[in-house]
Order: sequence, then structure tokens, then C-alpha cells
Amino acid sequence: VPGAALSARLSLLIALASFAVAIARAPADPDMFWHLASGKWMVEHREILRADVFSSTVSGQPYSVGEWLGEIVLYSAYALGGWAGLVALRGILVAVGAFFLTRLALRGARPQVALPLVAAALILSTIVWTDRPQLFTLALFPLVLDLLYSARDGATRRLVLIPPLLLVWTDLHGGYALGLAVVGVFALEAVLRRRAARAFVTTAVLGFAVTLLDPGSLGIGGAIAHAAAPPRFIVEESPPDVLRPAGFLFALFVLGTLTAGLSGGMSLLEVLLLVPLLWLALLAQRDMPYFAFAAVPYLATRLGPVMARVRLGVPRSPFGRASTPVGHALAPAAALALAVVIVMGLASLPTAADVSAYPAGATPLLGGGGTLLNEYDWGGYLIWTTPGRPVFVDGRLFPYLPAVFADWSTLVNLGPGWRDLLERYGVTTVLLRPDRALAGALREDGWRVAGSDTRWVLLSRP
Amino acid sequence: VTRVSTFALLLGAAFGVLITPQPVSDSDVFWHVATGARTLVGDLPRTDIFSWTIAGAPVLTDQWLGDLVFAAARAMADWRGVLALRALAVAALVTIVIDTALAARPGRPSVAVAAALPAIALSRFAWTDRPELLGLVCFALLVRLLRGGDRGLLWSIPLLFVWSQLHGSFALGLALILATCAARAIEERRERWRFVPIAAFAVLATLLTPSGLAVWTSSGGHFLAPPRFVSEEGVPDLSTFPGMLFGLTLAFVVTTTMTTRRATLREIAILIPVAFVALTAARHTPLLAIAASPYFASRWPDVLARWRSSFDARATETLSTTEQRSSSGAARGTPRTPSLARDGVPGGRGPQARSDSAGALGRASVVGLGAIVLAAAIFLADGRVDESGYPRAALAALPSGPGLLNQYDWGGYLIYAAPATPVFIDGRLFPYVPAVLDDYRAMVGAHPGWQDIASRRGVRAMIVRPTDPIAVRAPERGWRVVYSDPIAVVLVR
Repeated sequence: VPGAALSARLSLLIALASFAVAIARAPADPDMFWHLASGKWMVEHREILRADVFSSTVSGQPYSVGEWLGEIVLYSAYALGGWAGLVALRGILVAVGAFFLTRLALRGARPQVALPLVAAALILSTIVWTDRPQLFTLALFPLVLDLLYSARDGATRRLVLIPPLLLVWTDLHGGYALGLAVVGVFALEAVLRRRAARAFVTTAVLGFAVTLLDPGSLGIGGAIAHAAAPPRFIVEESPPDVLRPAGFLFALFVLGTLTAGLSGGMSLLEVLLLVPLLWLALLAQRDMPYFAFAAVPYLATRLGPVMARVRLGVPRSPFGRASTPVGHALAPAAALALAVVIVMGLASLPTAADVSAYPAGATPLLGGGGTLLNEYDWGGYLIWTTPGRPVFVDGRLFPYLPAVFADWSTLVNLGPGWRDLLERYGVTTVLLRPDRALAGALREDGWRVAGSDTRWVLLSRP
Repeated sequence: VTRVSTFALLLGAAFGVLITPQPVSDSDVFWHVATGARTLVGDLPRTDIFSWTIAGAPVLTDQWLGDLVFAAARAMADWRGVLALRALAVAALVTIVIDTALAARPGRPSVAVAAALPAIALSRFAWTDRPELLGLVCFALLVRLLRGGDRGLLWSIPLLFVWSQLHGSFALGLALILATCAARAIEERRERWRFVPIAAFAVLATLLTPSGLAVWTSSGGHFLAPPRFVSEEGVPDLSTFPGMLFGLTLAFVVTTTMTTRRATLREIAILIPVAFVALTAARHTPLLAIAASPYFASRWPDVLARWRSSFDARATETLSTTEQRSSSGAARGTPRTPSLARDGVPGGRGPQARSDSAGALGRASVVGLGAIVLAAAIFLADGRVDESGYPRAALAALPSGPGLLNQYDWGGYLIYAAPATPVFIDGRLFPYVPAVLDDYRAMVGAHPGWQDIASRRGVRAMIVRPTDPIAVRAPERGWRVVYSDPIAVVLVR
């Protein structure tokens, strides 16, 4: 097991490497745009956005997705540095998460066992490396977990940091419920073990109390309801498919945990921590990384004995012993190579969003009145790029459930009564994927094609 | 391999009885029976004979024996025969699962039943009239055999041979036999080479089918690229009831690792591959529960025995004599043997008051009674097909001959109920992938260009659900509605 200094150095190394990887991608997430637009509105109006101002279908209706602080921070990064600012923020948050995850993994394991696990968990987590408030959860979850493990090992004073962290986290992203649950698990285990129970329980109670302080956040009930019944038509909210790359990696974590548990057993804390996170991950694939993050320290400590049981042996460190000439030569070389990569990455930070998945060519044609019927995935992009033309539906989802979303689905899929809905909403312009049933039907019915390419078609009522 | 317990047989028969009120209604049973019927008369269909879109094209024969068994059951007693086959398969499945759990925890029937409950509850969703059910029985039996010694491992090869003729799930059986051989080779390093021929024979056993190497096509296709639009092939969803049961099973496995006794390498060799397969598709989730039931049984505490023990202790403490105190101490020291163990559950350590022959006679009587009750339940059950989910009333409006576009879920039913009208597509799926399936989806979804596809394919009639986009759009484009009810719409060009 590495000492504190080596652990810190290795954690920093992994964090910097993660930063270098994270800043390589241009912003492209469909929800990023409406988060930015919401942040911009709040900065400009100096108040929390509590009612819809972007759509034609639920205009003026109150709603909350929480995350107001997360949206403001995202927009501030954009306002300060443009798209490059947003990318830099992403890199920093990923690096923070990677740093604390590495620290967690190195708590009880040798680097040659722990670091591959960290790398695998970070690769899995790339599915949530999008420019949205969920990045804050990616950074804060390992941080809180690290604090809790430290406190469990005796440094209970560190628990003081958790309530303020939860207070901020609550306003950054709805994933704060995950942090609160983890704090609760440690408190429960402390009570059952009768060790430092008072400190952990006080932290849990205070943590819960501070999450109630801000009315602008997503309530704990809303966060739990969303986690318990994720909207299945959104890809990231669907259950993990273990025959796809990310799902397969997740399955390896599940099977690794099972193997380690069957082979070497599990403690009460590990069961209390891993079972709910596994459940959550199986409910929605966006939560897979959090199970992997929590499993990393467990696997890191148990993988060695498991490998010994099947007589595979623990791999040697690729760098050899630090005191050997090879180790002395390789470590600075690796650090230098990483520094070069980071400098090159910073020098070539993406300065524009990747809009290849969006109907960029259609936005100049979207003038005029009447209701626009748009693809769900493009709603956020249209809010950001064409603020003068309210959307029919977008990724905020909650304000549209259930009625508007059901109507949208009926319309684009030509469900019974689609013509009545088209009239009721006064739809005059339709911007959809060309393979939508509605796009074909309206063309056949004589709607004018105002523009199109392979990804989109813009139709106007004749 | 041990004798099957009377207790497990009785519970198996009880579940067999419980399943008899469920009428025959599975959408795939019809094409399985139709295929098996051809095989029954000596004409194993190697090319398609039911559709007009792939007529004459090669089809899989990987489930030929499963199809034949179902067709034979129907030939013997019409659909009641199919129902009887299902009831017997369910009875066998439950019996094996409980018996395996009992073998893992001798003399503790309450623990064994509790450990088998997730398997019974999850497999309930697969208690349908398909070869898949027979595959589950084979799987449960394999788990039983692989937990035994050398003899169990050897018996697994003939089982695998039969399984390979019944259903594509045999591939998992082969994987488990190979994994068990590997685990035992690690455990018994000095004799590790003796597992090589066993593994080789296992592979060979899967190839001795009418399909030869092609037997892997269906298994490989289902496993590596499951058609996700078929609900049972979708990923396990914990927000549904079956998914929740699966989640609980997985959680139980993880939680059980807290117990002091670690799993053996052989248990790990079975549980880990099965856990992965269970994660791949909803229809595979019962496999984990079946494989895990003996693990649960051997690790879970006997809460009932502890409660009885403490109850006995409290009762005896109220007595004040020295002898009574001594009796109380004995009860506390060793868990009381449940009465069922004395009545013949294998491994029961209680004193045997009866002679072996009397015990055997008693067991035979109980098993015979169970069989009679099961037979009576089958006889009294409704032996007709439940057509409430099918477009029965619309059949008269269907034209004969090729040219019908049908709902995917109704393909098997139409093969059975409208043999004069070949189908566009049905639940056999793989022969239709990708061209026919793509065209089907484009037309039923009324995607742009659906009319061109209909013309190119020569579609002249459709039978679809009223909520399908094409049912809304086709009349707007001049197709005539010749029949309509809440279940189906029939349209002609």
C-alpha cells in the first residue's frame, strides 16, 4: 500500500491525465444548451428561473429541475471563456473526481492493482462527461466518499466538511440525493458498529437539514421519484445494456464485485453501500459510474486475494520499484509526457460546440409565427440558438409530462387523432428527422419543404 | 446425484397444479407446434413453409426436438396436451430447484423453500408453452448435476446432448460445464488433465444435432445481438415487477456474501457466467435465481429453527426440575430437526423410526397422490386456446394467398388460425433479419416511403393494431378498412 505522499502524487497524476482526456472533446450534449440558456436568463434577470420561458406549450407554467447554481456556474464559465471555458470547467470537474477516486482506490491496495480499476471506472464515467450540472455530482461523489472513508478510519473531523458540501451540491445538481444517501449509509453502519456513531449521525442529520434550505433545488422527493421511475424513452435513463461497450464495462464491475464477494466476503458497510448503488445503476445507465466508483476501493483491496486463489498472481508494477534505475527513469518521463499532452490540449481547447447532430442549417429558416413542432433532442439547441422561436418540447422534460409529451409522441408517430392535435396546437412549422412518420405524412399532404438535409427536414403549413 | 426428495416432488406437483388454470396463449407456441407437426410426420422443415416473404429460404432447426415434443403433446390430447406438457415441465422445474436447494441444506426444508422462492417467482414469467421452458428444466438439472461430484459432471454430457436438440439455451449449459471443468482443474491440479476429455465431449455433444455447426447460430444471435424490440429480449428493467424480482435476487447474492462461509470455486464458476447472461436480457433473469438457490440455501440462516430453538428454551426454562433443565440445554445446543426431515427429506438426521420399506411405501403413496391431483387438475383445466389477445374475429376478412402484412406478434397465431394466408413475419424472427424486418417496421410505423415498400413487396392487405401508425395513415392514403374492432384493423389496397 503506498504512503500518503505517493498516493497524493499518483492521484494528482491520474487527475491531470483525466483533465487532458476530458478537454479533448467539443461540447455537444443536447441538454447543455437549455442549461446554458437557463443560466443566462438567471444571470441577466438576477433571479432563479421558476417558470417556463422557452416553450410555446407550457409557457409561464411553474416548474423546477433544481440545479440553478449548476446552471449559473456553467453559464459563467461560458461567459468567461466561451466554449473553451465550458470545456475547461469540464476538465477541472473530471480531474477532481479522478483525484479523489484514485485516493479512494489507493487506501488499501497497491498501485498496480488499484490504478487499472481507477482507469476502468473513469472510462465508464465518460458517459457522463457532458457539459451539464451532473458533472458536479461526478466530482463531488468521490470527494464525499473519500471524506467518509477517512472519517471511518479515524479522521472524524473531516465530517465537518460534508454538510456545507451537501448544501452547495443540492443547488448544483439533483445527484445530491446520492451523496446524502451515502452519508446515511455510513451513519447507519457507524450506529450498528457503535463506532463514532454520534459524529456520523450528526453529519447525516445536518446534511439532510441543509438540503432542505434552498427552495430552488429539486426536492428530495423529486430526486428520489426521478431515480425510482426514470423516463425510459431517454437513452441515458434506460437500463444498462451489457452487450454495449459501457454496459459491458459496468458488467465487469458487477461481476468483479460478485466474484470478490463470493470469494472473499463483504463487510456490512460494503453491502450497505454497493447494493443500493447497484440497484440504482440497473435502473438507469447514467448511474453506472457511481456504482463503479464505490466498487473501486472494495475491488482494489479484494482483487489481490482473489487472483491468488485462482493462482494468477498479482501483476508487477510496470514502473518497477521506485528505487530501481528503470523506475527513476520512467516516472519523470511519464510526467513530462503528460505535461506535454496537457499543454497541447490547453492550447487547442475546442472553441466551438459540435453541432453535427443538430439542424444547424434550419435555424436561419425558423423565422415567422405559429407553433413550431420540433424533435425532442433538438429542443435545447433551438432554445439556445433561436430564442425568438419557442419550442414545443425539450430536454427539461418535467414541465411537459404527461400531457404535452404524450401529444408530441402521438403527433410525430402518427397516433390516432394526430390531425386534431396538429390543429389544436396551431402547428405551422415542423422540424423533424426525415424518417419520422409525421414528416412523410405532411409531405404527402402538401406541406412545403422549407429546407432539408440528411438529418432534418423543415416543413411549413401550406 | 441423490434421490429426489418427496417434499420437493410434492411442491413441484403443487406448482404444476397452480399453472393449469393458465390457458394456452403464447404467441410463439403456434409456430412451434406447426413446425413440430411437420417433423412428427418425418418432414423436418429446413426451409420456410409458413411465410410469403422468405418462402423456401433456409430456417433454423435448432429446436427441432422441442417443437416435436409440443406437437406430439398436441397430437395426443389437442391443446390440453400442450397444457399438460407445460404443467409437467413446471412441476419438474420446481421439483429440481427445491431438491437442489434441499441437497445444499439437508434437513432444512424451510430454508430450502425460501432459497428457491426467487427462482420460482422469476421463472414464473417463463412458464409458457415453448421449448424455452424445457430449456429451463435442463438448466436447473444441470445446476444440480454440476454441484455433485464426478458422476454429476459425467451425467451432464448426455443432458447437454438432449438439451441441444430442445432449445438454444444449451449454449449456457456448455459454458457452465466448461467453467466447472476449469474450476475443478484448478482445485484438483494433479488430476487436471482428466477434465479435458469431459470438456471435449461436452462440446461434441452440442454438435450432434440436425443443424450441426449451425446449432450455434440461434444461440449466438440471441446472446450477442438480442432483438431488443421484443419485450422479453429487452434488458432487465428494475422498474418492472419481474425486473424488481431480479434486482432482489442479485441483491440477495451480494448480501449473502456477508455470511462467514465463502463460496467454493465451483459455485463461483457457475454463478458468475450465469449472472452475466442474466444481465443480458429479461428472459434470462430466472437463470440467476435458479443457479443461486442452492447457494442461498447453504448460506442463509435457519430463522425458523432458531426461533423454535429459542421458543423451546423459553418453554423449558419455566420448568424447574433438573431433568427439564438438562432437556432445555440440549434443545439450545443443537437445532431441532424439523419434522419433515424425519419424514424422508434426504439428509434428515433425525432418528428413523420406520423401516426403509415402510418409508418407501409412504413416499410412493404421497408422490402418487400428488400425481393424481396434478392429472385431475390438467383434466379439469380449460383445454382451449385463449384467443382474447388475437384477432380472431378479423380472420374472416383476410384474403387467402400471399400479400398480407401482419402484426409481428400475431404471426404465429395466423400460422395456426389462417393457414391459407401465409404471413409476412412471425416470432421466428431470425430468418426475417434484416431485410424483411426493416421493411415491416417501416410499413407498420408509416415511415416515409412506406407506400413504395408496400408496392415493391406486393402487400395487398394488412392486419394491424388500431394504434399502429399505419392503421391511421393507410386509410388516409386510400386503403380500405374491411374490418375493425378494438384489437385489429384489416385494410386492403
